[in-house]
Amino acid sequence: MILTEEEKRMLGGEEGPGVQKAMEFLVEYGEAFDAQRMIEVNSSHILPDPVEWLTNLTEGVDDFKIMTTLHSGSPYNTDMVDDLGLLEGEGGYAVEQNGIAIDMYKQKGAFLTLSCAPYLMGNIIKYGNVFTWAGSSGIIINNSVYGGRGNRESGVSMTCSAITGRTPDMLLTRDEKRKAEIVFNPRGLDLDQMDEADYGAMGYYIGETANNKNVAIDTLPKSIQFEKLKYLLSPMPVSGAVSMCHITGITPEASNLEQAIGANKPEYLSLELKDIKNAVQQLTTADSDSVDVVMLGCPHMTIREIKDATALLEGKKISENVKLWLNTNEAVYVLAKKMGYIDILENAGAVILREICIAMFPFGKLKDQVKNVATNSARCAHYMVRGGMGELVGQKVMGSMYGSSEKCINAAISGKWGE
Amino acid sequence: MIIKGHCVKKGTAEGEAVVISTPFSFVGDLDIATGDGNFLHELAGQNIAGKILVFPNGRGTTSAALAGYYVKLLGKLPAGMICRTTDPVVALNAIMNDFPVIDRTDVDPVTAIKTGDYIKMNANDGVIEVIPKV
Repeated sequence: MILTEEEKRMLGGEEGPGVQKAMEFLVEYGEAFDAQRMIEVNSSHILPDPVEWLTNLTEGVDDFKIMTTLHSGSPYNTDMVDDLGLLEGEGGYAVEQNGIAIDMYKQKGAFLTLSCAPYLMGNIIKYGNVFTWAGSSGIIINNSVYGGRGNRESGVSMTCSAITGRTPDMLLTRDEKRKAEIVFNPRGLDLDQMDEADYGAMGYYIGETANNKNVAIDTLPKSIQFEKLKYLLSPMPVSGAVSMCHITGITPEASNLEQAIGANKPEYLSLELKDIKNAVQQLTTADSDSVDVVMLGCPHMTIREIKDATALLEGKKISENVKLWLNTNEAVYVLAKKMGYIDILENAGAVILREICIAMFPFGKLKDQVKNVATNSARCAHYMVRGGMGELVGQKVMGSMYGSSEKCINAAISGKWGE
Repeated sequence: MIIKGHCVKKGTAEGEAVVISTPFSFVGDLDIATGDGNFLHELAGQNIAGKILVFPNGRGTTSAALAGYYVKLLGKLPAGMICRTTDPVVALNAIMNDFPVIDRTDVDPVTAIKTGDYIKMNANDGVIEVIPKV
């Protein structure tokens, strides 16, 4: 790999032991993909590293070089353990490590967004920016909606970028690697009538079909709301490993299909209603219509979603047998409070979660036994029906119901999943 | 049989092969405490601890390398991995948690290698020796 003079100084240890270790890691990472050089990074978003790694990487580092925010995590690192009905003190070792690391990141200047949607809190990607982010939903949204450039990172690579301001120039940071290899044509679908869960099921199908290829959708209504795009894109790297979805006329670098495919000879596929129905079926595993938990906000709810939920719940009460959890971040929460939404939602019996990843929720640590969870997120349903990472981190296999936020909220009120 | 490929993460390993033909993630497709495959994945009923996992490519959440850190603490990591093509999440898991990975092999590893074959892999040279199960 060809390094600049500054990068050579980092690698040689002249900027301290932490910077050196971070650059060594990035060089090894780049060599795995035959990267020829490093590229400057504009934004980093981090799932906190294990304390042992973070201590070594930040040795001699005063401040992160670039915009750096932190990802959402366990409810055990929030003040909501009691509100959620979780057993006290059952977070476990990995969660303790995460809590210590969050404080260490704050010391180095990372913003404690604690959200999978840091774009709602000021970590905003401009067209052409390079980012290294945790959270495969934010990654595909940055690439496809904001026109940023970034790969599916994992582990300590994002901290290494925050320390050095660099990432290897490879895969989705390069023009020629971003072009679509499969083009999906949705013209057979009634796109204007589709709710966010239909879009999520479509994304789940696209991810499973495209696997690790770049895709294009040609095209969607230009007026489509950001929220629908969020639910469409976020399952693609879950059922598959898709991180780049050109939506012609919407994705900044793909104003038409020619720009989306470049020199590629893509495969062309039609999207059909049966594809959406099949995905919904995969995401629905509950063996009765009895709902225990309704969970919205994977990825974190926007202010407009909170407003819509408020309208559905104003003057109503949810069933005594149901927990209704609305998951967002602190910034959206403060705004929703100012708008009066939080009072209405809490009066109806909802709990507003912040700083939490609900897809990895420790259901095995709830005081009440719960079985069936309803959600409008394909991403969330995928992980819930598999029991996430397993019992070690308090997770367990849940039965799922999958449908729009309206259908989910109606189920919270009646206690039953409607047909 | 000798298969040659591209080094993703250096190192050497040997062990029994576990071969799957569907994409795989350390999160959702694996119980990180035991190394058992998830019941909804092709890996159901199999365990990857100490094995050579052969699979087409990664998928899923970017928290996989962090999950790998805890899998390592619990002693349930695979000894090595062989993929058709590696994505950054798989590569970073290997670099962070230190197990060898080879990809872009001269024959398709998912069809050439069978579960139960004994594998000796030297990622430094990109060489895989396959001793078929008898």
